[in-house]
Amino acid sequence: MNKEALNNIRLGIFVITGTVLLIIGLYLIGSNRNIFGKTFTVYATFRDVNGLLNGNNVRFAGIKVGTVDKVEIVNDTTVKVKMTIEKKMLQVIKKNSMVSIGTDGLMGDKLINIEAGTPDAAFIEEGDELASIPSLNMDEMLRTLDITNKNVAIISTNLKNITQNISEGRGTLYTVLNDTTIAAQLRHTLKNIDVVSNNILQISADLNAVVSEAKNGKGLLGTLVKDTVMTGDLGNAIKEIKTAGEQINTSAGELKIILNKVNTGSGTISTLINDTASANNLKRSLVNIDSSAQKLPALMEALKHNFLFKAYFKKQEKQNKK
Amino acid sequence: MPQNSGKNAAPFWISAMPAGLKDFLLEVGDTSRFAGRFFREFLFPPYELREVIRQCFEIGYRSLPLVGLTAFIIGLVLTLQSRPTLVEFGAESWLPAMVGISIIREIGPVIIALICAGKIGSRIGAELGSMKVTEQIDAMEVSGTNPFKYIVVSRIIATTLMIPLLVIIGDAIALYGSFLAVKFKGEVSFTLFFHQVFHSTEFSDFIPAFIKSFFFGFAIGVIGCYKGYNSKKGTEGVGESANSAVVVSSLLIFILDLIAVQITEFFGYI
Repeated sequence: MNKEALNNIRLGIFVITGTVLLIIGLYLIGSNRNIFGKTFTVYATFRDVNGLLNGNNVRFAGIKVGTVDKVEIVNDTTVKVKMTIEKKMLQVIKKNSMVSIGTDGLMGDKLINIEAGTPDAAFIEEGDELASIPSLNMDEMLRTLDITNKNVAIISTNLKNITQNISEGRGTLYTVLNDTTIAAQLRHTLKNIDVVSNNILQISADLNAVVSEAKNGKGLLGTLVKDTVMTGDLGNAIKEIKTAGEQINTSAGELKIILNKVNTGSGTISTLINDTASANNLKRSLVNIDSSAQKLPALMEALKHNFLFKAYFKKQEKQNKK
Repeated sequence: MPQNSGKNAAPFWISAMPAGLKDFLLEVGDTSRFAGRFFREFLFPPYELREVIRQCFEIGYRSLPLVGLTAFIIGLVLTLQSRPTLVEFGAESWLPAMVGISIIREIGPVIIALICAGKIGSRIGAELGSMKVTEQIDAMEVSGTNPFKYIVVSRIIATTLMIPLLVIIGDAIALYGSFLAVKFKGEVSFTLFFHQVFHSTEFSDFIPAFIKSFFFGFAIGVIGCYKGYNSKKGTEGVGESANSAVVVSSLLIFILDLIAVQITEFFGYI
């Protein structure tokens, strides 16, 4: 074989190698876009596709099964996405499967996730439209985060001012933190609280014992709780108290009426209380009565010795003796 | 407005130009005419197929070891250099995709074209310059052979066809070098590496890069042939034509790359 022929063979190998590599490269890139496989088309509509582009991947259960073929605006609230999916998925994806727009990793490309439908649903067909799940809007999340950040900034400014005031010896908190008297008082208060808490503990233990006794029917409380006869008596006593109370209530009502009459000036008592002239007369009468009463024994004695009444008094004396 | 009334006198604005600018424009014009002549000669028979194949062997096959070694080192080094940054961001798994796209889209075609500009451009420039100096070209004209068709057209066709092939093979070798670098630093299978590379590669990454490599090859061929074909007499002229062939073709590769990027962006492939 001459040199030229040998060189031509070498050149042939070189050219074929390059061409084969070119074909392999094209095939590998094309197979990623489902150019060489059998596919079918399904659709989904979204309100917002969040930057989904032609050629983005379509995944089912985390496995790439197709690509986005077309993204077009139908109207101001609807974006229609055409997906090209491997034909073998016709026997896997159900009609009631839901689609959502996700992201490949944290910062990766957008993609469409197809979620499995229910087992009893029919399999998907060419040209079907799948229901979509609205995706989380990153902008909206960032907007909310922005508000949160602003709030955090305000809070941190306030905290800064507070700590600055404390460090510069201004405000009550500084006094609380640095005044040794307050600290001593606080310590004393804490000691007191400790004593109080111990007392509470003791009381609680006592109360526990009382309750325990009451449960067992011991003591007055136990008797009250457990003794049915006493409970009946207590019931009766309460009833009687209730009746007495009612009567007092009635009497009080009547007394109220009387007092009203007294206050309004009707009746004898009112006259006695309110009419100063009558009061004076009464006073005088009482003085007179008193003076008359003092004179009465002497008068009675005189009457006893009077011949007109002597017989009467003797008759009375005899009857008393009987 | 012309200053003198002679028939072949240059217009005022040309006469007033700096000598350097005038020489540059003259060079551009002559190179364009040279390229235009190539198309005229290329379209019409006779075709020097045997010479084209011989040149393909000399330009393509013989450049493969240099291109292969360079591409392998580029793939290896690019991966090793990119890895620490990606590891810092926890994005080590993106390394094959990133290196793959870089090589296929830009680094592969441009670096391989520059290597070829150095090797092939200087070879063509020196070869044609020697032929010019030793009056072989004149002898061919006298003997009735079209020297342009035989020497220039065959070489330009060979560079235009062989550079894309070298770029594809070089890309594959560079990706293999990248795979070895990834495997050296971590555990990744051959299948997974190439799946990750081609999973993130689009036709829009590959096709524009492949098309521009034809233009790079054409530029290397045209500049090398032009410089050699118009070489000055003497051994100094041969050296100068070889040197300027490398310099100008390398510069032209960058200019073409810039234009290619603009066109790709215009059609929305970036």
